[in-house]
Amino acid sequence: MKNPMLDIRNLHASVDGTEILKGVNLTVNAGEVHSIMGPNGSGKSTLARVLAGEEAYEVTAGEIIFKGRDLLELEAHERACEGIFMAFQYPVEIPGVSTKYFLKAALNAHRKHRGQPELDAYDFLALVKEMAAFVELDPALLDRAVNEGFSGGEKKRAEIFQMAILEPALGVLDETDSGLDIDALRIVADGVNKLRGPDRAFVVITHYQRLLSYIVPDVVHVLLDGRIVKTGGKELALELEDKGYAWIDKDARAAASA
Amino acid sequence: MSTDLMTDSVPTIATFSRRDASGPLHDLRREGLDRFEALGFPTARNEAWTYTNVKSIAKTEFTPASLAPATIDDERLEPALFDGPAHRIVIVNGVVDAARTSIGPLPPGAIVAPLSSIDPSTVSAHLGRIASLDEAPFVAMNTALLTEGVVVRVPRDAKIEHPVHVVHVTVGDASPVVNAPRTLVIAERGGIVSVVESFISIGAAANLTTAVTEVVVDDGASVRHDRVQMDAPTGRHISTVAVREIGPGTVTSTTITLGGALVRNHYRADLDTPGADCTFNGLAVASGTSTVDHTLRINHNQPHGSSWQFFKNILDDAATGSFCGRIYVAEDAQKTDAKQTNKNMILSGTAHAYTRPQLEIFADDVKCTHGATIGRMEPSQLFYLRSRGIDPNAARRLLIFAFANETLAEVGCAALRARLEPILLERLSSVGA
Repeated sequence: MKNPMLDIRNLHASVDGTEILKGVNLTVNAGEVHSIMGPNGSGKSTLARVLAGEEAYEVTAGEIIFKGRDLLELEAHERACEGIFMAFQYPVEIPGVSTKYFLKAALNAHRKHRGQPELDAYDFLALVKEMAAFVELDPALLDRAVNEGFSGGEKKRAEIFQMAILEPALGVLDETDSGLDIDALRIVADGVNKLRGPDRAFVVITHYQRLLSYIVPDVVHVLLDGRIVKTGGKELALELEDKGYAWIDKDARAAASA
Repeated sequence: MSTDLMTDSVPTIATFSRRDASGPLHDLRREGLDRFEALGFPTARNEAWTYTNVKSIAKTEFTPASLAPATIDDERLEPALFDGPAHRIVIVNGVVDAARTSIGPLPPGAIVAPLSSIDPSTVSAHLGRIASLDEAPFVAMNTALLTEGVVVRVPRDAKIEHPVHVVHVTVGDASPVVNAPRTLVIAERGGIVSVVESFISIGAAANLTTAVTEVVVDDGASVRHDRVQMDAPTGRHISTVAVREIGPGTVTSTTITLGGALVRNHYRADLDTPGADCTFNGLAVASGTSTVDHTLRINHNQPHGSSWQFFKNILDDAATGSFCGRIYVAEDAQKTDAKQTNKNMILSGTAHAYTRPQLEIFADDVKCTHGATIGRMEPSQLFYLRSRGIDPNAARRLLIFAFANETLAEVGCAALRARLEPILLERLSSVGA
């Protein structure tokens, strides 16, 4: 059996001294799409941010193995270059630096990490043009400052656009569906679906089943109070949509006390 | 004499001011001298000078620059030059460098010329009349020393095609000189002009540049004005840009400060006509023990005017940045729309930023807003860049540049903007390390 792309074992993480993740176990193989669902406050975004390497989220126990390496030993920028991409729930605005300039710096950092030469301006612009069309992003936006004055939908599309350019091994989508109307949701989902492939995996974090009608997951996990309490197929998402999270909570508590 | 901060320079300046008694600028110089002697140098007790101590200037014995003839070599001049066509006047220690001065064809009636080459009486309605001497000791000092300058006039409905580029060079190595550059821009009805002023100071002495730029604008005229200061680390630079709108036009002036031990840029606008509009932008990069001060006064004297102030400081080491923006709205100046923003990026534990918005509003139907920030780099922005593979050092550099670039984008002259980008990157590579 081949090694999983991502193997999270008994992960505990805290923010400001409060434990949010209380023993997460998750295995993701190349080519798979896993969805993490759960109510607000269950720890979904914390998991995404721990994977991305944000220092404010302190890992207190457990391990994360990514492509056979200890991920926790890597800084955020090293993780990115190794192939982890997190699409932010709330992408920040960076006035004064154009999306193009920023992405060129990011892409060249990746290339340098892989021992490749920098992409020349011509090839970079060709790539940018292709990928902008891919997520139906107005190319004029790319000359504007990063995320500045973008609509909610444009910000999310810009995240998927960045992902398409950087070609990560693992895409982590942190509530990418929040605040999107149905058309924007479809565009974002189409973008992700086109990026699916045998060498790439996704962890799709969402509160609602809606996104999963467009990005159909292989595995659905339910995160409750910092633990994955239920794992199933795509039908689990529909069941959650119908019945909410309370029944799982009850089952989980029963299981825990048994 | 009203102050305890009088210097040995005053008699020198007085003697200089009084010479050439039959010359055309003599009366104006005397007016400046009288005012300078009456005002003296400001002390920290003067509220407008709280954060900028000019004691070191007051204690320095300066030689008027034109008494210290100097030259500049190409290499030193090069950073001030930009590509593309321009009407260029280079003035070194108050003397026009004829070999480096070149003025192209102009529309009929337009003037782009050294002050010494025209009859000053043709501009006496404006020369020395836009920049007030009241409460302005350094304008008075500049006026007392006035022998040379540049006059730009764009006549009615004309456009001066290429930017007018004035390079003011202050050179003093063995002993400090005081240079008194003066630029007068007159934009008549519907006239359009872009004026760039570059300031270079060279030499180890604590030289002083007291620059005064006067801009008068009439109905429908548009003036883009950019200033770049590349003073030597020991250089002192005290500038005044005074704008008067006698008809509703548009003035946008952007100052980029990259050097100097002590820099104060004073902007003053008198919006004396309904519907006048002006925008002042500034960016300063200060390190070491430098002091950079931006002081503004916008007088909305008539209704329906708008003014925009957008000033940024990047402060490293033990540098000090201060901003004081006063917006005055007269009782009759209804429907005034004024906005002021001051942002400071602090890169060290020992840099200081002071910001003082001052709104004096006597009208009751106006929109005046101000905002100021003083802070370190935004951690969420830093993380966002790192999450895309950019290493922490490069991410910091990118954010510092981004902060600066917002103001660079406001530079009106495109050729200057292109030239400034690598210069700014180079300057920024030495801060925040």
